[in-house]
Amino acid sequence: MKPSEFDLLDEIAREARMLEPVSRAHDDDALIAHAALAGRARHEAAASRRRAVIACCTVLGVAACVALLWKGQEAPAPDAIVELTLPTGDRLSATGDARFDVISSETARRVVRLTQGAMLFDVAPLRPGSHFEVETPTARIRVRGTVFSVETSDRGTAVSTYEGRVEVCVNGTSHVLDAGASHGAEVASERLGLLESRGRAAATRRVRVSSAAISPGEGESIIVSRSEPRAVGHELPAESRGASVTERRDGARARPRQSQNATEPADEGLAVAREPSVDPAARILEADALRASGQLSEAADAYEDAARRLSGPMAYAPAFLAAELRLEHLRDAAGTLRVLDETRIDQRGSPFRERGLVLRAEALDRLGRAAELQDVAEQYVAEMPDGPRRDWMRARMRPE
Amino acid sequence: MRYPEQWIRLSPLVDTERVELEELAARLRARDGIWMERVLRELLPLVRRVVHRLLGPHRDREDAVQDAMAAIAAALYRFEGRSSISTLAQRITVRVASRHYARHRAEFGDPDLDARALAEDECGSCPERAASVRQRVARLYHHLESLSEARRTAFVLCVIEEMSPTEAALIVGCSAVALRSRLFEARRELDERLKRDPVLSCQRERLR
Repeated sequence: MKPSEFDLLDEIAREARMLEPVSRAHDDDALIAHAALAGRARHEAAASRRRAVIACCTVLGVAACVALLWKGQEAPAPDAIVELTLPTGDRLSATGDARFDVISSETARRVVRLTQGAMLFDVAPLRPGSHFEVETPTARIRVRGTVFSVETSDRGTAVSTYEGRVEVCVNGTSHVLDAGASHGAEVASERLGLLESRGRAAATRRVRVSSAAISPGEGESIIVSRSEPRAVGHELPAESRGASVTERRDGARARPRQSQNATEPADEGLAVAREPSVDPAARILEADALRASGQLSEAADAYEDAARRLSGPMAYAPAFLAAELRLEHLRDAAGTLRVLDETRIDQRGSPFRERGLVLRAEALDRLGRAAELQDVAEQYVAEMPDGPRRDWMRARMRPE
Repeated sequence: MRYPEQWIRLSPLVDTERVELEELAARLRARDGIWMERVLRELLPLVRRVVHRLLGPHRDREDAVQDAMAAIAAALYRFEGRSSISTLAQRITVRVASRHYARHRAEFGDPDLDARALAEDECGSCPERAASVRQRVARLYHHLESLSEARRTAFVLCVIEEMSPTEAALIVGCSAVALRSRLFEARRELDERLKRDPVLSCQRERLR
């Protein structure tokens, strides 16, 4: 029988099949162990990427929900709290099922229409002639900068005031609510409870900061004129307009503040409430929290702010932290030098002399300022011959 | 549960082997890390053999084996049992081998080097015969270089590995019809080349 055309090919293929790869037990053990480790690493990396994608999609999904809520469409869960800040600085917190529209966000006239659910309003200080208004199907609430919550449903409108004063107009009848007062409690639901803690916190923050924003003299008592927030736009008795409260404050508890507009101390006090905390200890705490949460730029700003408000050695620690954050994490060498120049933590006699010189040298190195770097390096080596960075510094001194 | 000490050599679609391996896979899904190495150890001979068949005599085929094993280990974490583990392993191995082949294609194809590279492979015959076998196999792989990757894979899996076209199609991820077509074209093309090969042509005469 004549061999077929494929016989040779099949013959060689059979021979190829006979060739068995050789394995060595020792090498195989290592190969398997390596494959198991590599496989787990790849799996975990892929899982991490999937989690990141899921997290990103979740963020986008939450953003989409907020956008829908903003437009008054289908809301998230009723017990969820959604926060918004208007361009004018007013902070709004809404329960998940709230439906509202921002009718106007102009500086002089801010109007929010709440048709369902509950919202907390932390209103930024208003200029003279401007007002903030909340409309519900059954009421209208007008304020001049305060913290209050509103809930509306088919049973009516409930209002709670946490700080300042609001005027509630219902069916042609006006009710003025001071801090701690409420209207329509019988129609309030657990939604207002969800917002209560935020309202109290916002009110406490305002009172604490505004009481700190007062000029002292040491040991002196001072007199502060503070205009009570009052409703505008609705008819008020003439004598109630422009009412002011005079109170004495103990100078030991007050702190300096330059007032530009003596006629509106309340507005200035409330404006301070919009600023970060002016207590440097609290500012350092805030900076620590920001750093722990990874908001390093904000943390550096907060440390710097704290350092500016402190004097002498007390400023060194936050100044050093600010400089280190800027150099090591934010890659801001110029900012590092600015902090060092302002706070002088690397000056002779400072407990941060060595660390400060290192930061300055590294910043100068990154900026390519060789001549200044050489000066710093020589200072370091002269004063700290056993310093931990001596070798690095020596390498940057002027050649002999 | 006791597992047999002696593991049966794997081949796809054999119930006995699949049951044992699937039991291991069930343990893996229960995140028992010990079983990962057991499964990998069981799969290693299969992977190595497929890589050696696909890449032929090439010095970097152990690198491809390592890559394939790592890829299989990663895939086993997500293995849901919809196919057999051996099929999964072969599928991944073919993919990894193709990547290695494409990456190092320029280094393939010197029949003399190929023959020397096969020197470590066991041949099971007398040394003279073994040298002749290695030379012929090296010539075969030299000519396999001229095929497209798809035809080469089809030939290796069906002719050298003796898989059915259906099994091979499952691993490669194409239809059985497509794979049969690739196999036919591969055989036809290789035979043409073998006809013109000076080393093999005299052997062809001997067979006549």
